Amino acid sequence: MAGYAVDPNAVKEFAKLTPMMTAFLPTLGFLGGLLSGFIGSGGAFVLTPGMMSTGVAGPVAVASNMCHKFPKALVGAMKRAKYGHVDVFLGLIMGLSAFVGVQVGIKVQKWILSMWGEAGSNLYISGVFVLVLLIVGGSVMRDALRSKNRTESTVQPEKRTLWAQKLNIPPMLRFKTANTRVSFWLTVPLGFATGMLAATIAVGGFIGVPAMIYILGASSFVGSGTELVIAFVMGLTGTFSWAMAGFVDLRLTLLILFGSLFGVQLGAIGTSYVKDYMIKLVMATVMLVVMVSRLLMIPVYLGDLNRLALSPALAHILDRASFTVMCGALLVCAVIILGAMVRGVRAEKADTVGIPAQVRRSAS
Amino acid sequence: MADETKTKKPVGRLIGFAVLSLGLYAVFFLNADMIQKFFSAGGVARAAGITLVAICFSLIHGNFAGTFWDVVGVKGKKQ
Repeated sequence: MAGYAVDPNAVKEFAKLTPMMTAFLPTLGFLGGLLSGFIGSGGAFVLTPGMMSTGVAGPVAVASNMCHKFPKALVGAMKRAKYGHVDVFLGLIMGLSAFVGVQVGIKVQKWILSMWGEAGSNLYISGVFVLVLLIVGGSVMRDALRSKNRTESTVQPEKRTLWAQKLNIPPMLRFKTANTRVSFWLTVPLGFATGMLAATIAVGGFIGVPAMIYILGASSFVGSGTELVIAFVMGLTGTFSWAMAGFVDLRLTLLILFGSLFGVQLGAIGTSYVKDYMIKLVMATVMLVVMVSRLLMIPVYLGDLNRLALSPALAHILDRASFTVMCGALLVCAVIILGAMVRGVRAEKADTVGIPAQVRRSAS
Repeated sequence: MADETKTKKPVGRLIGFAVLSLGLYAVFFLNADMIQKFFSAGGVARAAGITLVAICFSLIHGNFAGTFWDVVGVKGKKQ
């Protein structure tokens, strides 16, 4: 599951393409892309296990997923930039800091692997997943529900930005699109933490997007749009590392990309129809459902470490249940996003029909 | 008045990118085993090649996908 660590000793095994894979991977890519286009990240968490479920070897699945991530992020960022949702400068600063975070995260992973083996590493990854997603996802969900009840959803972030802007340690950075001015020394650690999380659970955006919203003071639109720039930087550097070792299976990458480039643009279009809180709501929902999915796996890893007596049959059931819940997270979010879009389009159509009627009334 | 507000759908652009995208996919998958064998050797040059191939597909197929949504009428709300 670790997103970026390249194991030079891993065996390169390229799976044979089956008709099931050629149908399943673009579909999974579409759903993952839809989520990425909407909240700036996500999708990656289900693509790697999704590929592995079709018989693709772990390292090849991680590498091929990574290789589809940066082109998708590029297309998504270009689309979101059209709506004014991307702060390229902020994305590059956070992206480069995230790159360093990824390298440190890999070292931590390797140390855990050498100390406690694969089961220990899996337990660490799932533990981080559950802890981060529970705290961050819970907070975002609470704020999303509060924002939903307010007409001005930007009140809370502005308050929280004050302390970040008070941290007046030069150099101070001005991010025009995000409309904020914060210290370099605050921005870099946030990018670093994003990278650390990406190296651990493959989805750095679960830290990056909330950090940009609640600490740097960007809107949900700009936070989620800018995350695509960070994903591009991390995906590009991660792909290069994996490709240097020859693990990228371009056939799988291009199959996922086929669906995800439709999805990411649809997700990006969707953001133009929804209110600020909807992005937070989708992000929190996916975080909490994924958290449940990883929680189901903790007994399995504890069993592997001989800390819990678990029958193989029950371990298998928990493993399948975990994967099903993860796929469910994608489907639930797809339904929320498409539902919000349909409502937004209907509301706009009603508005455009209403305006000429008013004009006619005032003219007469 | 109603006709003036209607924008022309970029059908020609869609067909152009569809042909390019399908062509790229066809060329790749007809030679997939050979291309995969080449890139699996690893190294800096091949890694650079993989990133270039991925960017090339993303730009062409991405334009096709974007134009597709335009043509079917799924467009972003004007800000």
